[in-house]
Amino acid sequence: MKYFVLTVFIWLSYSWQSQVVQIQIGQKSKGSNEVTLELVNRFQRNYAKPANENDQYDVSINSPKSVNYSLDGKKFYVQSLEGCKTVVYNAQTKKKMKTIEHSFDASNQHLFKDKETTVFDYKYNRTLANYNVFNGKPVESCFSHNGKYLWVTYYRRDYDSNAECPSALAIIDTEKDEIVRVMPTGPLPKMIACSPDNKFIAVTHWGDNTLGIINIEGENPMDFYYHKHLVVDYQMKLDFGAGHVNRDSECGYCLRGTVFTPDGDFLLVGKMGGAAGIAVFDAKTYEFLGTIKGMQSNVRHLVINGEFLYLSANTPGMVQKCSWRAFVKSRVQNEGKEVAFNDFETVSVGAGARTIVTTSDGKYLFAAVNNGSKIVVVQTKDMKVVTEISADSYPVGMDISSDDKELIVTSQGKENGGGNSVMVFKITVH
Amino acid sequence: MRINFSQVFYRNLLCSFLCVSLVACQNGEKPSEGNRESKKQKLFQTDFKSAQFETQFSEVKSFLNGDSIHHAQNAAEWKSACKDKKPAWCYADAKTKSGILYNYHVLTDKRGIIPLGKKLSLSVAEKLRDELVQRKKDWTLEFVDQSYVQRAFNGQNYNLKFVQFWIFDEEHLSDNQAQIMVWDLKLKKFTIELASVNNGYRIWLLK
Repeated sequence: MKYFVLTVFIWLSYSWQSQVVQIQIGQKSKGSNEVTLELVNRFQRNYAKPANENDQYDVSINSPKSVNYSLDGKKFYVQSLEGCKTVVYNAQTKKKMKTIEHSFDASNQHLFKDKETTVFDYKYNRTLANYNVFNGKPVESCFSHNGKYLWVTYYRRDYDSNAECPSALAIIDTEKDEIVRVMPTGPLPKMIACSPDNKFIAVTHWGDNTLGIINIEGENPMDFYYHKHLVVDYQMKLDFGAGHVNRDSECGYCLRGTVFTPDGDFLLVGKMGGAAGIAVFDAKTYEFLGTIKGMQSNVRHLVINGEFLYLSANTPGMVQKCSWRAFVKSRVQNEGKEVAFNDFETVSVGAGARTIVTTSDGKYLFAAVNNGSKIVVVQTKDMKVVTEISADSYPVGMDISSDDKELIVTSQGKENGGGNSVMVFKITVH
Repeated sequence: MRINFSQVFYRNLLCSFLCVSLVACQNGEKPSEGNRESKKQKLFQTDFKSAQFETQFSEVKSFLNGDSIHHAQNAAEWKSACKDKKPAWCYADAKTKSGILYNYHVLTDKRGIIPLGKKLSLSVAEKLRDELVQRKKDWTLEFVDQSYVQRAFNGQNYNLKFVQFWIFDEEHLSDNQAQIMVWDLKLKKFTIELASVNNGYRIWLLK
């Protein structure tokens, strides 16, 4: 009998979790007089004839992983991972401006400087006539040169199903919205960050416990070059053989969240896999200083606003806050491979805490909660949840406009349907 | 021409004295108290009841017996000295040659660098912590910006806006960690923490 009850319980839990959620234009958050969210626009590939004119059918939205507002706030860029596209929208009119294809063939080989195919001696595990003929799967992005260049990482080249070969990144000139250079990377790059002094780009390789540091001091993208290869503890060997490997979980430390401290002196990299922690580098010498532990497990996203470091912990569904200076001090104060830091304020937002963003003044934090299909708003002064709103299934990426009036959320697609949408929420702080 | 030898003698003696004084000032040396000074690092003292501090940090570059303390002039020298458990100091700001940071091996060296009564002990630090807890945030203290620099075990200087001082705590000394007092003036927090003996911090003297 008890097995029957257990089976029913597991089935109900699974059914509940696997229900596809799609919210309506005009839906508002509940439970707060302080902050409200309202869905005002959406771009999706699920319904060809949506009921509301602000609900736009757009087949270029194919498993959208992340989104970034341009630094001038006039556009936003959606990384359509399975579509192998970056889709550019006008932030005011919400009209599509351009689709940038990450497809490379004989016609655009000039984008690869000196026909470069790899870096740091990474090897291909197959022989191809031209490794630079491929479709790239865009994941995350960041800006450099005061917003002139948008850097987009490719999860993998499409022919590399196990993501064990060198991947690549695209540099997009945001004035023309065209790719102006493609650089090789290590395997499976995800997060990417620009140093505050605009001298370096850090490319975090989810795939093998390493990062690539690119010198970007010049203005011409063809002058950018790799400065250093960083390793967190050990470089993972990639020899998976002929079978398929799930690289979402077979990734060593699964390095992800990446942020420079505001003074530019340190680079913090979240270890989403393994025994968790945050790796710390000296961002002047790029020496690996070791790992800080003590936070929740499965660290995904890192954000620094003012004096505080915020992190999302995916599986436990927590968001944590601490003084970033005290956090880094704990690392440089003591020797050893790992040190502990425990001075966090923690709030539960629900399992599957993915991307987090803060308002420009740091008063509020928004968390995309994937499992619960919702966006949770946290007041940072006391780390209390003030409101939440349902979101289309599988919310994952997120960005907030510089005037704090709009929040864009991407919902990735899954095999059972749902997701595949980009939602624009109006934020009102009362 | 007639030469007044006694006048020349006294004039030269006066010049020599002035020159020696000038050089001593430039080097930050004060024979009676070791070589400690620096007007740039003057602290803005407050009214702590449990501990009265000197208005300047230690700038001593030699032990009480006159032996020089090793000056680690770069990251490699610092790491090398620490690896050998050798007492060493370095500048907080090498460009301006100002601010002295010591590894903990300086404090445990038998030759000594600080007269006993001037040492900041753990008991004094704990009393100060208790006092500050009682006073909540009703206290003020300022340091010049350079005071925030520390040298880490890897030989690099970092400025994380904390002011840290070694505590003379021989009883609780472990092989690789020692007590420091940490002032977080942004959040008005005072803590006593453990740090690597191979880090470089300042020494603050009691009056």
